[in-house]
Amino acid sequence: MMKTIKPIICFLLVAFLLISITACSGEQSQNAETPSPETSAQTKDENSQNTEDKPKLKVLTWYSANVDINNDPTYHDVVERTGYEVEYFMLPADNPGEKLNLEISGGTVYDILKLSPTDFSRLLSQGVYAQLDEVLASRGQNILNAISQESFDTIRKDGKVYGIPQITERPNIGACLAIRQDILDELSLPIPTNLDEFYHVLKTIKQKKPDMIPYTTDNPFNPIIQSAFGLYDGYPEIDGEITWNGKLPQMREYLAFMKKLYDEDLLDKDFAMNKSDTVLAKFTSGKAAVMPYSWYQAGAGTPDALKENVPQGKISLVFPLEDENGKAGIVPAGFSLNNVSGVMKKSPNLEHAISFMDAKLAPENFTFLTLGEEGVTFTVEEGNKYRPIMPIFTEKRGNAYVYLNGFDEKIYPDMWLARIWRDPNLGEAFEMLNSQYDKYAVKPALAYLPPLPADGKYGQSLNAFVEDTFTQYIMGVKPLEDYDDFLNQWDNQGGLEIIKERDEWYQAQNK
Amino acid sequence: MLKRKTKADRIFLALNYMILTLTGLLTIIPILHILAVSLSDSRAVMANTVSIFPKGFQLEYYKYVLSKHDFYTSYRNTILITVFGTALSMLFTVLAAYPLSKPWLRGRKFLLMLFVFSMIFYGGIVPSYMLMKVLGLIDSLWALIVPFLLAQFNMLVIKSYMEGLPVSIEESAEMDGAGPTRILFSIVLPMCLPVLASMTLFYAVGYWNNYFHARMFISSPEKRTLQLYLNDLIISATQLQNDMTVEDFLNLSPGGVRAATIFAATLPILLFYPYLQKYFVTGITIGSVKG
Repeated sequence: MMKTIKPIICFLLVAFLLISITACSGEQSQNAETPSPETSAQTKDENSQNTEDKPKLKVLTWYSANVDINNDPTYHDVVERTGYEVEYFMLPADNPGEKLNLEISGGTVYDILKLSPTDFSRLLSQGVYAQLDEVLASRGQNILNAISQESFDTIRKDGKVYGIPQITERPNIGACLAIRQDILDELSLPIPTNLDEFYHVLKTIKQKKPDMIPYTTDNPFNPIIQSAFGLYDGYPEIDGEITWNGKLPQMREYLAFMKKLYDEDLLDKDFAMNKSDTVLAKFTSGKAAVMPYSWYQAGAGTPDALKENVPQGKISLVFPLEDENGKAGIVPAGFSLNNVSGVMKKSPNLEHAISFMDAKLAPENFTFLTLGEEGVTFTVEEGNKYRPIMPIFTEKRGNAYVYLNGFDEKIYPDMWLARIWRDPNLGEAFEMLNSQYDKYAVKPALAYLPPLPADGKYGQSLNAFVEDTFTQYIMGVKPLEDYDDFLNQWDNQGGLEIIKERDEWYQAQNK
Repeated sequence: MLKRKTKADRIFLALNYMILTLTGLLTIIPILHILAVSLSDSRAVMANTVSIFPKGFQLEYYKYVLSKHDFYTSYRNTILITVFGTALSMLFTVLAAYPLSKPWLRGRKFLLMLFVFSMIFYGGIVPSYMLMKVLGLIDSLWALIVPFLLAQFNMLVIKSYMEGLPVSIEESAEMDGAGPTRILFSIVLPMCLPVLASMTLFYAVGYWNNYFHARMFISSPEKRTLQLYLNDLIISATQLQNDMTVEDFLNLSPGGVRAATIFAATLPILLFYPYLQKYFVTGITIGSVKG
């Protein structure tokens, strides 16, 4: 008897639950259509707009380490200068996209979203953002003065603006190679300037110091070495069309050269497994003689760490290597969009959100909110040489960058250097790497490229595919003869689409 | 009388000791390494030359970590959630388990089935997010307590323990004039102490370690729990994001600060564990005889 009843009860139970679930969700969707408290709040707010009752704004931004975002000195000044109460929320460092999706699909409403260009374009295609052209015209005069139309152009959709773009602060040469000057002196070698010299230096180090790793790195690419092959730009323009640099014949030569380094033990045998931390540790502990070297590593105590382990250790820089004709170049870091601030369509405070961001860019506020007061937290010499006054600058404006929603593109690139000079080591390292900026910098054909759909679809997996395959070529796991097959695969895995989209964007920009 | 040990016994014993010592070392070495890094000079940390002994001893990292406002707030949040959550959970669990342990309760089978059903089937993260939103609990510490007030499994364990208690004691209490509440709190619960202790521990560890839900439901920096704080600290430094700016990079915590934070955050529970461990073991075996 019991045995027959049990399944029936189970069935009824499941049915009951299913019905109640669908009933619940039905109720929800109805709710969405009838005016909810939120939308009625909206109409109320629009009325109060005239009297300028400033609502509290909710801002979601990406993760920034070590910032007490709702209690920083800059935060308080932002609130005071704009007159808006603001509450900041941060996405997690781990898997921010997942949390973002959950919040957006769960119906959480923020007023301002400050996100990476990739997340921005994803949410834009989901219709999350409000269109801004009219509001910007009426309330965003400072924004329009500060940010160039070219920057706005990169994120327009069907000619309309949905966000406020913030480009990277200042194009700069981010990394060179570091080489142990004391070893060069010991073996009477010059700092290499071209491929032959570079090879000769590594070879001699290997012969004279067999225990050392001549060149350590954590990935198969290096712009300093690639420069000797004329490979500067990842997606260069050749005869008026955009292509991928992997398709150029020089890339094969580059890979063959790297393979030679690997075969002759001049390149770290473990380079495929290295992480940036391991590379740094190998170099500073004196095990390796050459490594990729960014100015922020240089400023973060790398020379000291080396001295600690190798008292005579001294670092010199290897700038982009020259090709046979003496030509060298590198694409600087920072010809890119950094983030985009948009207003959510569901936000009842569209006008206020724009007014808030506009107030921060007003000339009387902008310098104060980014660098503080002249003579107190920073100084200006020779018109555009901004330097911080320490340590008060870090105290008052150390985290000011978190509160930016776009910046004044005419003056901020110079002002930003004050932030680098907070640490004199860092400032010097920056100037050292960029001392020959004009000589080496090659502006990329696709400067300030916005995220394109195919990038989102294939970009990540394609990059991993290229890195894996190049690593295999260098390690000899795959023969370079099948490079054409690789190119076919690359095309088929989305590469063709990526090139096509980029070319279309390029042609539209250069009409 | 113990049997005299044969040679084979002794070899077996020696091997046992060796393997156990090795595994013991394997678990302690990472902790010692973190401790050593947190006490070492920054140059030694960068060159990765610190093993299990500090190099260039200094306490700067700890001074820095302990001066951080975020560290305290996240610590406080986790302690609040663990203490209140565990207390409320125990109350709710006991109040559900006691009536369900009575065979004469009408509809008991059906009620139990509801509990088991919801134990097996879970709506998924988006529905729970929406539920929390409708309840107004998003970005509130309550979102990390309310959904976990009753863990069905723990409730079933307590229920089956209560079923094993002699009925006659409750009957005699009833004859002495005690009502159901009095019986539960003065007679039944004291007899259930061992199982209550283990379940308290289960709940407490669950609340302390809860990371996933905190990640999903909490957005305000001030409401982050210790686990979120630690995760953000470590992830942001080890896995450089593509779109990370130079400024973000410069703001990262150096390895020593990370190590000091990890150590300061795990120390309390590390000190706590040896004393609670025995309840863990009894907790797992309780109820395994009575089904």
